Amino acid sequence: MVDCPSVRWQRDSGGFDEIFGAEGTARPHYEEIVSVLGDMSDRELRRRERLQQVSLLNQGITFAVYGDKEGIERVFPFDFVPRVVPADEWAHIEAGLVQRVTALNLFLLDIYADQKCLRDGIIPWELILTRKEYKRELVGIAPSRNVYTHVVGTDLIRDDEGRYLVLEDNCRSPSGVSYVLENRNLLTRSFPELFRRNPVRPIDDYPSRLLEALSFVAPRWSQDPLAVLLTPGLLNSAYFEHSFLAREMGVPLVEGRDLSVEDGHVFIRTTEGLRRVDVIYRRIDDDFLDPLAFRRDSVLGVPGLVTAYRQGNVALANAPGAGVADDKAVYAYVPDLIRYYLAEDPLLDQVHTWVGARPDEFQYMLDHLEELVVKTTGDAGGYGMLIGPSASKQEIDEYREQMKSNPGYYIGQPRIELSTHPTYLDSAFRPRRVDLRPFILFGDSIRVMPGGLTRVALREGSYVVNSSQGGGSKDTWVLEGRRP
Amino acid sequence: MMLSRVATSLYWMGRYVERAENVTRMLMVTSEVSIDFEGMDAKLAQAEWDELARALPGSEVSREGFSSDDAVGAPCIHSFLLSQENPMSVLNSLGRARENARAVREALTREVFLNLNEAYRALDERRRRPTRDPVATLDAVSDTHRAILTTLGAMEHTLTRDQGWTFLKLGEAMERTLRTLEVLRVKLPGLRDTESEVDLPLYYARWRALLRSIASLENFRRVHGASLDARAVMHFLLFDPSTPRSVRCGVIRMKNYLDQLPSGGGMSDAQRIIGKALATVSYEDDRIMSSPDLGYACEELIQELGALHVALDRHYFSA
Repeated sequence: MVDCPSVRWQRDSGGFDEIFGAEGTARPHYEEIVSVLGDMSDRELRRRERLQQVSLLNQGITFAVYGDKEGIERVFPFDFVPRVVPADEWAHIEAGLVQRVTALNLFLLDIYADQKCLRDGIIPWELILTRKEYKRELVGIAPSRNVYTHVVGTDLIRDDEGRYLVLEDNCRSPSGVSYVLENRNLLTRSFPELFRRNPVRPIDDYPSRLLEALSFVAPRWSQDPLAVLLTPGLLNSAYFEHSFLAREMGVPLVEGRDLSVEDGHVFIRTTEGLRRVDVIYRRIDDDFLDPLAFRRDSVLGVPGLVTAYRQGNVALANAPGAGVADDKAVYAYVPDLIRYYLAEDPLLDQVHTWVGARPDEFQYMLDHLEELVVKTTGDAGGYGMLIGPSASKQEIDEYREQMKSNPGYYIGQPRIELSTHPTYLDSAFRPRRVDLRPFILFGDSIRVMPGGLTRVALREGSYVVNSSQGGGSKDTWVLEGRRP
Repeated sequence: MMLSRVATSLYWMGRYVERAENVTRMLMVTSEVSIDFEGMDAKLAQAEWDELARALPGSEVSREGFSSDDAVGAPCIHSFLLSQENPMSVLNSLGRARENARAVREALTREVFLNLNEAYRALDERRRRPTRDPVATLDAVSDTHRAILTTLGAMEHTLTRDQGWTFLKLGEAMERTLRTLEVLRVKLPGLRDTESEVDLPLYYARWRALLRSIASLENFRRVHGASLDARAVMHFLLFDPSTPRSVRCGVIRMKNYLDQLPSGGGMSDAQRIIGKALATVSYEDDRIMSSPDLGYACEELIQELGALHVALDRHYFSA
């Protein structure tokens, strides 16, 4: 074990720190990193940080900030201290995610077909059938190969004992995977010595795996299927990722205006005329997919696309309607769904959730607002969330009154501390809160990419890891099991 | 297989990078010539800058912020290098090239995007911190020129020779040929005037500048030696088959690129137009050279290239 080497490595008292244990010593899987970085001068660290910054800007790895007249593109801040997940912890996470995604997919197949889980009372029907994410137009239409959730990004956090908890499932079009791949490139180039004695599992096969998962659901199996990536366009904040993935997979990056539907088949406009499309990895929301089926004012989508999908002539990934599975109210029932569909206990814990739809739990929420984080679900919109521990008495009272008018729209959770991870800021390694979003691909089998997006709240004391609100990211290492 | 939208973007990216390179080079050459002339005859120096503006139709030069204390060319250099208001400025061309590249990044290599992005960012940085120092300004022009050549090198060395490449190079050839024709069209009357005045040093200086602004002085010398015969220069820039910036060379290149593209059965409109143009520049050099107004011949070729662009758009871009 290495002693907390110098004052440069700071550690706060509360919560779980990813690198340092309670005695202030580095955990075994971080020893090498602490020693290598500890030997470098501030000058050297800053020099490498500048190189990274320039590299990000020059490669155009940026996200656009909406409404900025100058059209300034910002880089997503990158912290070079990697987050490390040892093999045994990862094995647990991986098994838990595979189990969870399996159950969510079965749940979607069920609610768009027989609705057994509703009839058996596992989950209240109002929570599902009244949601705008639930597409009744698609009841009875099973997606190709019965896959709804081809790509899932599940947000994990760790509580003060270091237990991994699921915070949120993202079953629509989770983003961030391009940063995962680019962060690894950036770190191998700028800190090669960190990798020398650490068995880091590679992640660069993700684009190939993604293309395999997409090709798996192509409706025409015999021929060489054509997959495309559908983007809202250049102005979307995740455009870099769309372009990156299309390039890495070697598939056309298309916008709605490149596609057309004729006789229930989807085509792209090429320099040689129309060509038929088999699979669309769409990075636009359900509501914008097809102005004839959903939002009529959508200019991003393709008229007739949903009809082509219903007829089974084109596969959409993720399948439309999948969004209902990552609703905040459904989240509370996921452990029950896992038990119901798989007859297994959930391997991964999640944050305890009180559901407003259950009268006794609603009463508990009303009585304990000072301690809880309360969120609205589904399309309740407009009311926002209440963070009890940091709200004023008046805010809490007002929120309580709002809640009474529609109990079913609310869920409550305890505030979780989030683990901290040393992060290089102003010449010191300071503890900052982190989360982790692994990416799961669902094709002929379910595969979890070994790693994921570690987001870090760069502001002291902050819990907010979003890039738009002062968040950054880290390279995430999953270590190979110790070889004999 | 290539999306129509991607083909359009690559074509325009080729055009804008080429335009940025041409304008940068013309700025370098015109600055040097104008510095030479300025002491002798400020009007002559100003005329060089006026011609540059006329050789770039659509440009807008503002004198705002400049006074008579500044060098004759200062407003022009600023306007053609850094102005956001001048549609023909290098900054705008690189910016549009970059926007097109961003929209089709998946069709490009990392090296191409990186170098183009770097060239644009460096220039935009200069716009934010403008300088009045003439030497620093000329440095900015030559740095930009080098950055563009690096980008062109990255294209040459890293891009797959597929349909995307063909559209990119087609745009490049179209832009280059147009730029050569525009320069000739504007410079010819002035050059004829000098001819009648028989001021030999000036005469040589202007023909040399013409060749240099089309990046062809060394190529010309290789063929004709150091003697600058007006007729030989004109023939060279219009009809030499192997110097990369002659009109004939551009037309040959466009014909070759078009032959590689899917025509949709039979001969496309674009192929007809370019075939006719190729016949003109291959076989009618004598007739054109003996015509009383070479400028008119240039004008006619410019019109034909305009028609070619429209045919390309109809066939490939707005399919």
